Amino acid sequence: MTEKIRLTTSDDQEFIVERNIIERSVLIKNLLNDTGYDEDSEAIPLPNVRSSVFKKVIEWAEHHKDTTFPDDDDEDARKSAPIDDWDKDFLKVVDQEMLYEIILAANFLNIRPLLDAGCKTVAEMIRGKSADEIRRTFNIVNDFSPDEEEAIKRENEWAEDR
Amino acid sequence: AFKLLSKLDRTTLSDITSHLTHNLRRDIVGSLPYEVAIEILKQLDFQTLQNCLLVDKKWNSLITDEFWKYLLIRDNFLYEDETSQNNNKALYQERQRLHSNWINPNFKPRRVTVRGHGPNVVTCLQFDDDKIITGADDNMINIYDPNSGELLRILQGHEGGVWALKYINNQIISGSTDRTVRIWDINTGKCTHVFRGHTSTIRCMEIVDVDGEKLIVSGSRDNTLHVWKLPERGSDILEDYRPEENPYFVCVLQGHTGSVRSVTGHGEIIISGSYDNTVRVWDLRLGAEKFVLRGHTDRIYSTVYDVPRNRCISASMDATIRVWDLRTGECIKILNDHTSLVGLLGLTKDYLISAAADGTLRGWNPSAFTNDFTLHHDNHSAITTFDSNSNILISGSEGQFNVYDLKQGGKLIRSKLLSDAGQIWSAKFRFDKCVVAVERNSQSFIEILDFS
Repeated sequence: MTEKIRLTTSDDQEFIVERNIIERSVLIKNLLNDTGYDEDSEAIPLPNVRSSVFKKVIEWAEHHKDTTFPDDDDEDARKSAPIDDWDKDFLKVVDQEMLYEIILAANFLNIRPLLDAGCKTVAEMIRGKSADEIRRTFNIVNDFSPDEEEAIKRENEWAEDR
Repeated sequence: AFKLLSKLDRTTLSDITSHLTHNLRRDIVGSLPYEVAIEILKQLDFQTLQNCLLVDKKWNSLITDEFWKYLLIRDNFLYEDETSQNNNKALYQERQRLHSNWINPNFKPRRVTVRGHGPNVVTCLQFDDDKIITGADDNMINIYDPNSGELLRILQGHEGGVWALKYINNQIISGSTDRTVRIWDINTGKCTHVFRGHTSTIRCMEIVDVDGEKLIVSGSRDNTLHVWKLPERGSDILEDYRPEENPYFVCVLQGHTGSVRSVTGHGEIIISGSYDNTVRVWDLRLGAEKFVLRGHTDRIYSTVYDVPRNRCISASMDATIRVWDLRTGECIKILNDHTSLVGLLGLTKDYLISAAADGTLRGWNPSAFTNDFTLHHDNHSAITTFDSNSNILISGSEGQFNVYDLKQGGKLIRSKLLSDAGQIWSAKFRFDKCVVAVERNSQSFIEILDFS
């Protein structure tokens, strides 16, 4: 039987997760290896991950328990790989707040493949859009003065029209 | 609040949902830690990034000059030996503009045509922003201005056709059918050194750097390779040594039993391909042969050294390409899709490229060796030259000169640029220009195509 690890999220929810699942998180993996963990150990606190977000992270890790991802150090392979189909659907259905928190959690927990999938999902929300469409997508207020905006546009056009 | 919600009707709930969805939208990119936000932006293309600059001050500030430097590397917009310091955005925009000109079939590059080497074959071609250097069968080396096409200098001295040539900084190193290697000063046009020792035509040349010292390796029809130290810039007096007295002579690499047709190297490792059907790997530190790679059943015409993967690749008259592991000396792959002599090989970030007398160019995955694209010249005549970087591929044959987009899997972009030319002998390109040595009405010409 695989070892179970107890963790508590920022809203004081306790989770019990199989060690091989939670070790997708390099942060937790290193922590477990460095400190040693047994049944009597305190639950591992995750002070900046909410339970609903952590649930999604665990769902992701359980789905990928047998997946082999490109090496963390192989930046070219990681960047050029398309988003895994399952990840795409998994991240498509969540709202922007949740997507944001999943990315933050993946970053904090150091789960590179999930972080990459999250970043690529956001990139897909931006790709091919005008500045105005991007602002609408992310609820951003344009804080440039008309002059500043004009100056940036001029700099951009320099490349296209010359 | 939840109790209240449960009492509402569907339409109200629907209104609330869309309201909530809108309010849940948030500036994901702007709120994430910088290093994560940057990972998102790194996924985007140039056009979208230009739009991102306009979103708001926060987004604008994420796209720094350092980020443009990353993009220059990502999009293969830097020369191998180029390191960009500042104003990376301007440099990126410039290179992007040049690239769009290349792949826009309606863009007409400015064309300058200049006389080459009379009726003689142009055998060697190399150029940069300041000079075009050609070597030919008329024993001459010509230096042209790449902008005006003006013939700046003619280097005379060889007593036979020039068949191998490389320049480095301000020195040209040439090899000839007259069996000598000559060193020339580009600034003065003078020959500074003559190296003797080969007993037949010098056919190929490589320059490597071993512990900070530049070494010349020349390959010859006398079955040997000679290794020489590259002299510091010469004095005014021509240094012409008898072989046994030459202070620049390092060693002879002996072993091949046929003409040495190709040589390529990096650091102390030299790879030579020969008409004796073998590829040999030499270690210059030891001055000795490391491997004899046997397997080809006919002459070898081209070799490339895949340094990061520690492999070499050879192309042969036997119509195959072989991949060799340089740790063990074993042949790990045979690519036999070509149907006749494979004369040319090249390696980019994404492809191993081969060109053959069967009129095709093939692109191979450099790790898995799948045949990712096959390009045909219309008239099926032998491909005589090609050049590539990670974005563009150009190729020439009898009466045809093509430009392909490697980012679109080798899509043909242009085929009519030099439709008035006969044989295309040699073609090289940089981001802004393409220089092609051609034959037209039995005369040689240098064509300069300016894409800026």
